[in-house]
Formats: sequence, C-alpha cells, structure tokens
Amino acid sequence: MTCPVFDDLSAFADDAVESGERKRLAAHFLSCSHCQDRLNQLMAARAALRALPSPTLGVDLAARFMDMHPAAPRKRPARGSWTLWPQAGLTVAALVSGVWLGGLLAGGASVAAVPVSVVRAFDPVPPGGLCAAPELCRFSKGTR
Amino acid sequence: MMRIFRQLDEHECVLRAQRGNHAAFSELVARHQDRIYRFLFRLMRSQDDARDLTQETFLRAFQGLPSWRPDASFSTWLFRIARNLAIDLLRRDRHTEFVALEDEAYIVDPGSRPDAALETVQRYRMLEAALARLPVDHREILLLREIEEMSYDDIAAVLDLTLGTVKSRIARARAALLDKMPRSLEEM
Repeated sequence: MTCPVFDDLSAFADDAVESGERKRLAAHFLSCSHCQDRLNQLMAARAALRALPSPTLGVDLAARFMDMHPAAPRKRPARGSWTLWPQAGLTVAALVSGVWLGGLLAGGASVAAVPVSVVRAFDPVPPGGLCAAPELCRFSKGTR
Repeated sequence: MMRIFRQLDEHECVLRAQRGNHAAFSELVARHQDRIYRFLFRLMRSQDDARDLTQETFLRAFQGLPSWRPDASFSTWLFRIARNLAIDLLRRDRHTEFVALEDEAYIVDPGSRPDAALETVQRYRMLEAALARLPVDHREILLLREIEEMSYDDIAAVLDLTLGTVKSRIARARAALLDKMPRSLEEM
C-alpha cells in the first residue's frame, strides 16, 4: 500500500475514518516508519496544544448579567387594559361616597335634603337609643 | 455569584432561559464564559478584543434566545456567534497580520521551580507563537478541534462548512502548524 494522503492520516488521528479504512491505515502505519513518525508528530502537537494553560476572562459576566437583570420579568398589563376598569370604577365610587359622607358629617344645606331614614343609618346613636347630648347627635332639639 | 441552577442540565437551563428566567441564562454564562473567551483570545490575539467580543457574544445570545432551536447544542451556537463576531472584527480592522500575545501572565505557573518554569513558559510561548502565525481559517479550526475538542459535526456547524471541508481543512491546518513548530515542541 502506498502512503496515505495527510488528510487521511489526520482523520485517522481523530478516529474519523470508517472501520475498514481504519484497519487498512493501521496496518500500513505498522510497516511504514515515515507515516508512523508523521502520526506521532501530529499526536504530540495535539498533546502540546491541550497542555497549554487557559487564559480566563477574569470577570464574572454571569454576576454582571444578574446585576443588570435582577429579577425575572413579570408580565404587566398594558396601560388602559380592560382589567383596570373594575379598579377605576371602585376608586370613583369610593371618592363619590367619601365626598357624600363628608358632606353629611360637615352638615349644611345638603344634609337637610337627605331623608332622615338614610341619615340615621350613620348616626352615632343606634335607632331607639337615647342621645346623651344634642350637639353630638347633630340634630336640633325637637326634630326627633 | 450564587448559582442556583448549577445542577440543571444544559438543555433544561436553555429552556428556562427562553421562558425569561434570567438566573438560568446567568448559569449558562457562568458555564461558557471562559471557553468562549479562551477561543476568542487566541483567535484575536488581543485581551481587550476578546473581552469585548465575549460580552457581545452573550448579549447576542440573550437577544437571540427565542430563536434558538435544539438542533445544535447551545455551546456550538455560542461558538458560532463568537466566531462570526470575531471574523467581522478581523475583516473590519484588518487584524490579519501576526500579533504577539498581549498578556502572557496566564502561562506562568507560580508553583513550579524557576528553571523548570522558565523552560515550560518558553515552550508555551513558542507554541502560542506558532499558532498565532497560522492564517485565521487554520487557527480557528485547530482551536475548535484540538483545544475545544469539538467533533467534526460541531465544527462544521460553527464554521458553516461541509464535513469534507472540515476534514481537509483540519489536515492542512495541522500540517501548517507542524511546519511552524520547532522540533522540540513536538516532544513536549
């Protein structure tokens, strides 16, 4: 057998030839000192390259990445989404009822317009109870 | 940095990262950053370029995560990104001429005897110099095969070559390296 081309010798070193071809090449290397020498050089170069120390980055990129992205992203509804409408409605209702109650507590013209049955629901004195002092019960003498 | 996904296999880590889990992506960075840097450092012959390109590689990977498909391994995909960025920079800046390594501190072993250390350092320097004198297409394929120990299939995926071309280019790169290596290095 004539000496194989260097491509085949290189592939043999990487165990990248088919088994039949591998047997044929191996048999040749046993009888050819030139090819054996070339194969040894190739293996020695590989060993030398693998023995080279590895340079390291010296920076913890992973930690840097986590500093930039501290938490997993959370899905946030887009502004104006329909899911916000119930919350907005409750807020408006709370504001309206707050203003209305404030008006009741402060007294004034609007109080007179509110039916007594409604006002009583918010009286400090339970229905049927006695008022200790008229000024605390927000009604003038003689209205009850 | 606390690595909560250290035990997780690579594929699961990538899947979690794809679902927006930043800690999972961070784990992938921790696993691969030194390999990518090592490859880029020897390809570019510049510490600064290698650092910048390593960061850029992971940034691109993060941005491209949604499009990653498990038909190639994650590390092969990373090497492909890194290699393409490096080639772009080499073409842009015409870095193709031989440049000595900027930083050789990593090749000094502080634990060895001074005379032995000197000899070892000399050998490493000669080997690095022989590598550096190779054309980029020879250097990159040797780095992937001999140092990163990639299969022919993975090399073909990283360099976008056919298997036949990978085989013949590896052989030519090895022959070129042997020509440039002092005989003493072959006995290391």
